[in-house]
Amino acid sequence: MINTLCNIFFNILLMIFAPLLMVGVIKKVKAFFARRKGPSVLQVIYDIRRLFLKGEIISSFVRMNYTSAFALGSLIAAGLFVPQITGEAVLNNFSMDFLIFVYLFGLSRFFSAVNALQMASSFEGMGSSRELVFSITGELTLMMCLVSLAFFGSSCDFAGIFGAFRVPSIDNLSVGVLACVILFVIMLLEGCRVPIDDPTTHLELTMIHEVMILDNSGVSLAYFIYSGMLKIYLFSSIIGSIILSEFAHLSCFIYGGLFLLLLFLISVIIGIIESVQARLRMVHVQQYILFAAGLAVILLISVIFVRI
Amino acid sequence: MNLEILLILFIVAIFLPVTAGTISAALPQKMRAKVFGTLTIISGFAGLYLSINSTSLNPLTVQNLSFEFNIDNRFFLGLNSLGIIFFAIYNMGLAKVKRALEQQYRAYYAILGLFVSTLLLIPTLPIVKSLSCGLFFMLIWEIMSLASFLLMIFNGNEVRLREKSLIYFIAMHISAIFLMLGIFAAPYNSLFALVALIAGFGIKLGFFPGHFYMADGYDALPGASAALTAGVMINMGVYGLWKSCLTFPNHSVIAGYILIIVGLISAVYGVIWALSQRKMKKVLASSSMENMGIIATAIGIYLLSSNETIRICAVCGCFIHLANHSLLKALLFYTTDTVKNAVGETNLNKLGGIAHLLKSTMRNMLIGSLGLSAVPTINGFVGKFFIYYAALQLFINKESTLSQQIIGMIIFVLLGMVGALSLFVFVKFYAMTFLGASRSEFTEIDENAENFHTVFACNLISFLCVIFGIFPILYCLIFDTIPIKKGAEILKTATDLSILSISTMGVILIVLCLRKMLLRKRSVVNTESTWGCGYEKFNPKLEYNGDSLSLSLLWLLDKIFIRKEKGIDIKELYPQSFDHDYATKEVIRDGILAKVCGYLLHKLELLQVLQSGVMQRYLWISVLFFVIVLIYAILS
Amino acid sequence: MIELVNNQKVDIKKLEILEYDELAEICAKNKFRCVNCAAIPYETDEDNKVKKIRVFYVVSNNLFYFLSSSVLDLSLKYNAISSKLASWVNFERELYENYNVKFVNHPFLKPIRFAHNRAIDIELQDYPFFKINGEGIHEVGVGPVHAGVIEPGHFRFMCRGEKIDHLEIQLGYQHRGITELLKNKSIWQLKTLIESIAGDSTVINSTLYASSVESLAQIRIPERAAAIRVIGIELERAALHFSTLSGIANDVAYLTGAAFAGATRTYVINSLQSICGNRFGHALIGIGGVNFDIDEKLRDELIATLTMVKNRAITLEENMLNSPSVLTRLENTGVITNETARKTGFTGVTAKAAGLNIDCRRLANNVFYNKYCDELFEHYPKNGDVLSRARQRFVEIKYSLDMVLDILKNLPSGAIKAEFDLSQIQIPADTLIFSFGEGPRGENSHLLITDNQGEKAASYIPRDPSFVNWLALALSVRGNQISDFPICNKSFDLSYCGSDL
Repeated sequence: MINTLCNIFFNILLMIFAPLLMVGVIKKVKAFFARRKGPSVLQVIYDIRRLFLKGEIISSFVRMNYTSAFALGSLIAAGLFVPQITGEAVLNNFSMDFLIFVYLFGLSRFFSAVNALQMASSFEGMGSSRELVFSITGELTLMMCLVSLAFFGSSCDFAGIFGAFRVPSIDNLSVGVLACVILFVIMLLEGCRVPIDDPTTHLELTMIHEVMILDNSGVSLAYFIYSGMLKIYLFSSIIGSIILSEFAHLSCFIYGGLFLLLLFLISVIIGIIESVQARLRMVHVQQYILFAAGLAVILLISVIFVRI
Repeated sequence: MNLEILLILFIVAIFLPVTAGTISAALPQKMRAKVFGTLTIISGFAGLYLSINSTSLNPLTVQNLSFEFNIDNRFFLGLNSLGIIFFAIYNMGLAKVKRALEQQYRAYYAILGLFVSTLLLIPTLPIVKSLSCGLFFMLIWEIMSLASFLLMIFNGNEVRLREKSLIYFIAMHISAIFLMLGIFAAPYNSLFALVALIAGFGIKLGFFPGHFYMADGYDALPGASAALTAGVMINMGVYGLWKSCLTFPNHSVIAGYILIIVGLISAVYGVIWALSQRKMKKVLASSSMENMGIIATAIGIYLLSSNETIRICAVCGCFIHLANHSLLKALLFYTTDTVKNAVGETNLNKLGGIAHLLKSTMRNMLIGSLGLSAVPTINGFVGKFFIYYAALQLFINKESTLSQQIIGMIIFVLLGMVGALSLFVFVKFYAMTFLGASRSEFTEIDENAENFHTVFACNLISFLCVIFGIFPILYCLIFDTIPIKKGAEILKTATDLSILSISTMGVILIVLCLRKMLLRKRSVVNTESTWGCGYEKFNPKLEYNGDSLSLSLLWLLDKIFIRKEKGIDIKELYPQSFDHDYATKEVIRDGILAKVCGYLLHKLELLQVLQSGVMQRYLWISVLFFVIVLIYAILS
Repeated sequence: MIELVNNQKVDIKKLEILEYDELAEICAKNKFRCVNCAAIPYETDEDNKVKKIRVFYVVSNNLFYFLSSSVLDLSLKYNAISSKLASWVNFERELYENYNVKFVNHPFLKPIRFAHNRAIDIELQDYPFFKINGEGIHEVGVGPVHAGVIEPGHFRFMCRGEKIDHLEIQLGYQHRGITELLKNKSIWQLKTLIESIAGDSTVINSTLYASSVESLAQIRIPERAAAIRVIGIELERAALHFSTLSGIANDVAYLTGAAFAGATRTYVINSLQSICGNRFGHALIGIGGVNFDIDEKLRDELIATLTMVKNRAITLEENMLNSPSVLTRLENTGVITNETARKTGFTGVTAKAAGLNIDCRRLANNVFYNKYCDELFEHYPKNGDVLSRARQRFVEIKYSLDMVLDILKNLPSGAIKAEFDLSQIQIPADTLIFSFGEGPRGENSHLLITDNQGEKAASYIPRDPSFVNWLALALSVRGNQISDFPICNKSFDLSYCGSDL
């Protein structure tokens, strides 16, 4: 009983604060590369708090005021199924929870695309069309990756998948590394970081996600910004659980500490990629995701051969 | 239950709609819809009661015909009855609507009555039991197809109506040819019969390449009847497919592979085709093609596998998805019809900004779109979930053969992609219809389009969809065919889905309440216009439209889906005027069929010799014919 | 038609007046492009309304400049020269806007800058954009308020999905009525106003103004002054190119390059500041010479700084134009073909990157430029895309810095300003003077016509090369993806205020 309560409490606590801190670390790393001091790591929290304290200005074309809440709510619900810092998800022992995870992301995407299209602005329409098109190949890649992991672990849920990585071996290592790379690329796609989208650009014609929230303000804007960060965190949780499943038998404090360390490392890597690489041309973004899809096909073939 | 009461209900269910149709045809226009509606609702409830309670009814045999009430017959009967009840309620609301032109015609109701009767009769007919059964089935099937074709006549305002309805007619009869081949060949060569039957029913369901008529056909049907056709008549195709596959159990594996491959191709093609359409009903018809492909895949998994769990999952998935599709597609067609009745426009590039006019319709279309995009909490997800589960089990299970594993993996991955694509289609469908600013001027907005009956029908369907989404176990209450209770794993899955829906809704509610609480004391300004970079004049072209939304995917596939008609690139420095348009291409109709028909027409020109127009030549030909017949008669 | 050299005076009373059709025929036969155009009232009626105007056209075939004049009756219709020669479009649009000349067969008769004293009756928000007929086309309107601190202008795209079919640029938000203001004061008092036309073309504009007045007043400037003027122009050119390259790097998210180029530009404009106290070169140029001298100490500092800047430019070029992720963004984006550039009369980096070798420094007859004429056109693959324009800018930076360093090492001695007595000088009346020079963006030209007393200007048109070059942006994005528009815009880096005056 205490166990489940602790589980729920720590998972939800981390789900609220970890995304904000991760993005803070990314900004700090970028500033370090540009030889600047950069904003404090907690600045993102202050920004979200500032947005919560504001009222909202809503465009006169808007008929659905609640899309931001639906988008964020589905993501948080998706987070309930992902094993996080304690090694267990809030709602565990669900069959096919990775499918539910993907489809809840889809629900969130429906509402954020609808939010963008209701503003009657060609910028936002452009953003939502790009987002929906990239999500097609992204979901294809993600499905291939998850189904190969499911086959590798011979199970239908996250707990079973991560359980298969418990015993270190060459098979586990190769499959795990490939899966982590694919999940990392999908994380960059969903969270809209370089090389797919530049979060600091001011050019609306080149944006994907940021342009969809141009006409939101106040609490709605805070919800959408937070959704983007939450996606990065959730994918990092999955990557972290794959890497740390070897240490699952250790005490929960050590596991928790390692998990936080891994989140920090992933933020640093994202920051380094953002500082060093240029952003791709829009037509090449699709090819970039197909590169990840190619990796996923390799992963699929390799797990079939490994298990045979 | 008492055998006689059930028999009476059955006869009521079959004959009441026809009589209702003829009676209402005789009545003045004001009473037609109400009388027809009430009588049809009664027959619908009769059918529904029959489907739930006739477990003990053995197949009836009348002379050479038999009527079956097995578990799957009852499912289809129940589903059809439900669809017919909704149709009747919706139709009652169309009496006062100005743009519902078909209401003015008496013949419309007569044919409608006949149509509804056949829809309630077909689920009880076996197909391959004996030749006379098969022929009777073909008779009723043909009446059903003809009735649906004749309903198109009353859709007076539709552009190119003749072309669209004729293509539908031809496709229906190509399907009928295949069905006849199958029925006649059944005692001799079962594999050939099975393939012929799959082809025949496949054309009805829109399997690739038999889908070429679907978009045009459904566009030609008048609004409410399109809902009936897409929600109910298409189930009969699945009924036929299911029954045929069960009748030939020794060819299950081949049939399974065929259905899976054809199903996956149809699903992928259908959803991309839906993306390229401009008119709402065509989008929905193409989406039906996609969903029928998914159902075919589920049937294929059932036929292919020998594992008990997988088979139960596949059956659950197939039937639940069929029920969901029937409800959701009908809901979307009804809402489309309401939009057309209100503003007179169904082109997605010209709609937009009507949310303040049609509030209930917007809500219902949102639930329908969410359902068909298969996102959690609405029932669309449940069926797909079971199919995914079956496919994954096929892939993972250690007892499956290598080919089964590969097929399972391909199904899982492609269904995932199809899911993302259908999300794209329905975001476009919903957002371009209701949201944003109006892309064209709407003249003569009809306030009556959203009246009590139409809204009640849609609300009822939405309610059912949401309830089924939250409590999938309820499916077995209404349709006991669906064997959710049969496996412990399946039952657990259903309860898991309930927990998923409830927790998602709970979290969303919490987040919504948080926002409301935060905004209670702060100002919310709702009159600012969308940021236009400071340019002072807004015009509706400055907003995204449906074509551009799809073009971000379709420019890669434009050889398959787009037929450029004019205006590709501007060449002059200062162009004076420039037109651009493109048409949606349908690969089979504009490619293969056009070539074949062109070739045939060219060759048939040789026969023009016979069509000289001179009376004497025709008389000589008739004389020649009589002489030949006479010689034949003498010689034999 | 008479041939013009730089800073040549022409008495307009003795200039032959051609018929407009004759003028059109001569220009069409020789494929002249229009360089500058001015109009003064020729005949007014009783209510002081203008009935006839006299237009002066300066045209060029990229080897020589010619002047011709014609008279237009505002009540008659004239066949537009633009129907045959595309480079005349904007000039005839200007005449239409200012005087409502009735042109026939003009391919693009629309308002050009919504001048305060325009003769046509149209408001800014009613600009008639070109529309493509088609239900699948949507329009995207960007501006006038842009994210990022750039000048206001409205861009109307016709798009199909993500592909741009057509772009139309509507300016006029930066119009300040400069051409009218320039008529209000004595010719000697216009320097401050000229320097304020466009902040990044200050030195070239003030140089051309000073040369015009010096030529009218027959003042000869000392050699040292001419050298320092060239230093100012070239430093300004280098600064603008660095700013453009920083913008291009920023738009492809190549942040290191953006920061590096931005910092390097600071060195250049700080050098300018160390000469004249203002980073953009205000108050550097004076009539008769320059106002500030470069002493020994400053000269050595400048040589050290600018050598360092040149090395930084070489490093930046090596890193930026060899990085694959940057190259894939820049290559084959926003192409302007050689033929298009020839037809439409583009100048500056736009034309050179398309393979059209025109540079006013060759024709300007300036002793300091004559030494380097052949090195102006380096050979590298020029197909008119963003990459070629970026490379051309690097070439020009190196050339400018080389020149400045050479002049600094061999600075002629002497005074920095010629002595003259204002009371003794009489500016000739009714005289036209044409000055041209290669500004940072292309061919800047000033056309000054004195009034009938020789005190004020009857017409003074300081033409910025952006006036003609804006069409390049509109043509280059056709068929490109809309997400490539910002980088095309940055690669041209045209002046909104210079075009709007």
